[in-house]
Amino acid sequence: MILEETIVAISTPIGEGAIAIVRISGPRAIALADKLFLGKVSLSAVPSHSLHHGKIVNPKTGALIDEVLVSVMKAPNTYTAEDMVEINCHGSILITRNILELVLDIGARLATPGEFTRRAFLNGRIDLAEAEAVIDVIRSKADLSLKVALDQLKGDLSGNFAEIRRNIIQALSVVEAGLDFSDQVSDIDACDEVLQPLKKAEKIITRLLCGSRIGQQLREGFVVVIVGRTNVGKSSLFNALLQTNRAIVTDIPGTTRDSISEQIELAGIPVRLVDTAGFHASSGIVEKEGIKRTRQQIESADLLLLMLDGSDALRKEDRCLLRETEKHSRLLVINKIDLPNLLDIGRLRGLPVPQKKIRTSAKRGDGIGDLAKIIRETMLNGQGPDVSEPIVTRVRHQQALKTTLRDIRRARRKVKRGGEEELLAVDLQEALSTLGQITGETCNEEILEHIFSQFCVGK
Amino acid sequence: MARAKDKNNQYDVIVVGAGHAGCEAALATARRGHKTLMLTMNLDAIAQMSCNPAIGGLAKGQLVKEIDALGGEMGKVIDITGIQFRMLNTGKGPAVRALRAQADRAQYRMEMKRRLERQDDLEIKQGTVVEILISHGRVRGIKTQLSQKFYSRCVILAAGTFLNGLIHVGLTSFTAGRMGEFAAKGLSEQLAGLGFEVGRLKTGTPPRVDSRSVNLAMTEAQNGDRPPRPFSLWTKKLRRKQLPCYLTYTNEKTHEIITGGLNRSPLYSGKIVGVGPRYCPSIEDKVVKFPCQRQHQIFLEPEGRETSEFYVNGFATSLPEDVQLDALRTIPGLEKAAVTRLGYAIEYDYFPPTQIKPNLETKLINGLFFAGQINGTSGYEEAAAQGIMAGINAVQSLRGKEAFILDRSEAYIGVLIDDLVTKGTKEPYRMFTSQAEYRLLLRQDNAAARLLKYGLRFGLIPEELFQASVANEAQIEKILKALQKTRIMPSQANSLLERKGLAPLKQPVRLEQLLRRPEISFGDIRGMSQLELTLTPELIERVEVEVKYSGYIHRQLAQVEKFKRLEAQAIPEAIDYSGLKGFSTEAREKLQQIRPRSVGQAMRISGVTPADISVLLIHLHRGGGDDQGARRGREVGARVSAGLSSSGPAAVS
Ligand SMILES: Nc1nc2c(ncn2[C@@H]2O[C@H](COP(=O)(O)OP(=O)(O)OP(=O)(O)O)[C@@H](O)[C@H]2O)c(=O)[nH]1
Ligand SMILES: [Mg+2]
Repeated sequence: MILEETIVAISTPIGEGAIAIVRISGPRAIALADKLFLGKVSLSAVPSHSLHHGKIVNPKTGALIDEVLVSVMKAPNTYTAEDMVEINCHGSILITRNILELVLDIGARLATPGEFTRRAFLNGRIDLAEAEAVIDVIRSKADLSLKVALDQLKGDLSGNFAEIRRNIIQALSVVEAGLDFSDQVSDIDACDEVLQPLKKAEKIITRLLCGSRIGQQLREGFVVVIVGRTNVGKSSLFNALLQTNRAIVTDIPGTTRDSISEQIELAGIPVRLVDTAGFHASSGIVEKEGIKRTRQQIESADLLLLMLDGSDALRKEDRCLLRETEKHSRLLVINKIDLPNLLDIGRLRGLPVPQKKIRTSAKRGDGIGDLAKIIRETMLNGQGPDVSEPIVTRVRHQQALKTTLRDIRRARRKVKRGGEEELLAVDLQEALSTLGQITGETCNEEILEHIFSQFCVGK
Repeated sequence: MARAKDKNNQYDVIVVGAGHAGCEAALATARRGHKTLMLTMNLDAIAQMSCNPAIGGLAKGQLVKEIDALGGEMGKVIDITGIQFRMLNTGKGPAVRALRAQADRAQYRMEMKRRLERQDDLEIKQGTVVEILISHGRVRGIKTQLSQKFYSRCVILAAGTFLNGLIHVGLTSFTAGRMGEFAAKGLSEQLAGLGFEVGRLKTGTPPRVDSRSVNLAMTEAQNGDRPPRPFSLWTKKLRRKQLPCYLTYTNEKTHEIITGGLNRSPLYSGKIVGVGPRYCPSIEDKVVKFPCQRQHQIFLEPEGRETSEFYVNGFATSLPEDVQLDALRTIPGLEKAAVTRLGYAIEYDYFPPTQIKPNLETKLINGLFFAGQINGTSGYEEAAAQGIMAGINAVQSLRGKEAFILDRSEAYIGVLIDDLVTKGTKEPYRMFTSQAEYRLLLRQDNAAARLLKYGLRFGLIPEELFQASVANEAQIEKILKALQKTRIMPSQANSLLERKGLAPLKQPVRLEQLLRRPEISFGDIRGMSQLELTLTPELIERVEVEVKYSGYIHRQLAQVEKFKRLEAQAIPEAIDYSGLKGFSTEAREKLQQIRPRSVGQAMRISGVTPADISVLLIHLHRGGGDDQGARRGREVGARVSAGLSSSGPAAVS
């Protein structure tokens, strides 16, 4: 079947171990890997089943991605019976993802769930009697992958994809109406009616890819924001998680005046960690500005670490903050447990308190490891140890957005030039089919539906 | 006891119906040398255009060219009997251009009848079929109203809108197959009894007016192309004088009258249950659904050279007589219109086409083929396309040969039939260019290059015609090569570019690159090439298309290659999905019902996911599994799963 294509996947649970494996299979596996690999030898020249040390380098920018071990296995004695390459890189999600994206950029396709196994079977590597088992594997992987994809498509992202799609459909139906009913739809300003929705779609995509929270998620991972009243130890926790002294820590309340953020990995998950200005009742202009920013950060967070001072009584600001952030996904951090406990937990009753709690000492380092683990679990919401699927899903989303953007731009150039409507239609159809691979929707019927509901066509 | 079968009532193929599908089907089987009987309820209504007197149009024009290249009759007949020819979409790219012709309705009928009557091995009889004779799941022949029996190994049912046809004009309704003709009763009931699913569709037609009552000064004349181009490869030149059509518009007064009559509309009073086509709305639909639109186009189309009737295109309606008349008379030019025939709606039975195979044979009864409107399509061209395909395939089946199936990358006909058998249809199906994913490849200008080879293979196209096309293609190839080779110096091209307001060249380019620019035509660069050929306009057009589209054509060709590989992966007919594990419930049901013949077709079924396709591939590869194999499979299953999870459950594949 499509065995001519070269496929790639991350084949280890990312972030679990020190090593991750990016696996490539198909006729161009070795050639593709060779494009990224910088070592003593060219991979195309090495014998089968050999291991090579070298670097993975972005062929366009020359940037070094990671130091790796690459194993080259030639058909037919491989798992899939095709040429295969396994890139053993550092277990970091960012690095693994980077390598995966590079392989995709130079011409491989993301493997579908169970595809390696399926290829192995179709190429005769797996016994006929094992077919049932292969089916089980495919089914369960497909279901998992669908679940993850749906989970991730919930909320904003799904809304954005739908909006992009709607706009392209709108533009395409105007173009198609002009082609299939040219004798009847003459009185519309076709140029503008096509350009407007395309501009909208392009705007959403660029926002997703560059600016927005989702864009950030796509690029950088999850956003975790530390909030709390002044002096509870937010900056200390920030430093503890970062394992540096990035944020200034003093015993003067109101030390942090503006949010700072850092890209880190927590138990293998890429996270943008944000330290914020503390909440307090004072009225200085600078503080007010700082608190305003803190509120913005809260809005953009995937997860809030709401911090209370365990060595102090519950205060008005704490209660305020607990109420204000009720709707957010959050975690309660009770800090300074190395000091005598003065926080009366009973007083939290009646307040909206996060379900999950953890006690830490940012100063001594107690509970920091546990906190990292809890953050990770919360972010993966119950997907257990398998994090490669969400990561791959994100890569897929990002790739789809990039391709769609390219097609929309091609189309827009044609609209501006005028003419070539039938080619313009091809661009837009391709954009829709790319989006369809993410959302699972096809659209032929929808275009016609759209035409009939918008234009009075038909004699 | 059945009457002894004598030679006189024995045929190879019986075609029921002499509409556009029936005619093409009967001609194809007879031309392939098989004794054919065509039965029609009315010998004077052969190839009748029940609705508008026109052939072709966007997407449909391509169909006619394809039928012609396969050796069909529609293109030849319209070329002889057309009264106006126009190429549509000339302002757009060549891939979406299409030819449309106004027909002389009566002449078209006569010309087709003449051709049928001159065809060897074809007998035509008047008679109403009331029963299909079947034994052991195989068709044996048919029985008429008069209890005549005719026997054959294949029957092609092409009964159009006649099955339980019900005409509506206002709140009055009566059974009819078409205005003035009987409906066919009994057949749907028999087929339903055999297990066929029967659905109900609706279509409509506008009134006709007497042209002598029309004030043409109030309308806008629309003339045909000069010179007109023919549909058929057989036609050298169109000689007859063309007639104009006339354009006028409805107005708010018209809409007011229509709105006032809605309480007596069978559509809006709920009398009509059949589903009508969205692309061919009645005037009452247009007024109701687009209240903001102040006017709608109305085309007055001559019904023929010898008649004064005009067809009022754009005014399909089933409103009562007084409303039709009052509304018509508000339209400029029609103030004093005399209506010769009223508009009406007709409901009819159809068989949802997922019940047929891609060769148009029913899944339930061997040797029984369905073609045309009973498959839920609308339009003469769609019907004719199915007709010729059913004809060719009936013969393939008689001869025990492989079915003839055009795929979606080869022809609109392929798209049409694949859509029908894979997706079915809930409204009358009409061909649109947007339904073809390889639209740039399926052009009217290359229909011959795409399909003549099949016409030749089935003996429906003479060798000379095919060879002429081959020579033509070779010439195009030669010109393309020359364009690729010829290098042009900036000094040669810059005056041209300057004239066109384009940036001058700095470096030499190939002629092909120059022509690829949207602003440059073949005529502009012809002088720069060393080509000494006399080129027809058609040839020049082809060259331009090939060059200007080349980037996109290559992309589509790459997609086609992938598509073909999937189409080539056959699924055995006998496969039983109910016994196979791993499918989602929806996919299993759909696969069981539609029974795709290839993996590619399976992928197009809605509700069948890529994972289901993976599972299907495994099953196909495994072949029939016995119990023991399955048990062993389960054991190994645990092992394989465990093996995979040793490298982590995260393994994507
Ligand atoms: N004993 C103890 N002291 C802590 C702990 N965490 C922070 N502190 C101290 O508390 C004081 C305030 O710490 P910061 O980290 O600056 O607090 P903050 O919440 O960032 O304060 P603002 O930026 O002013 O809002 C410093 O003197 C820290 O050393 C802890 O876990 N235990
Ligand atoms: Mg601070």
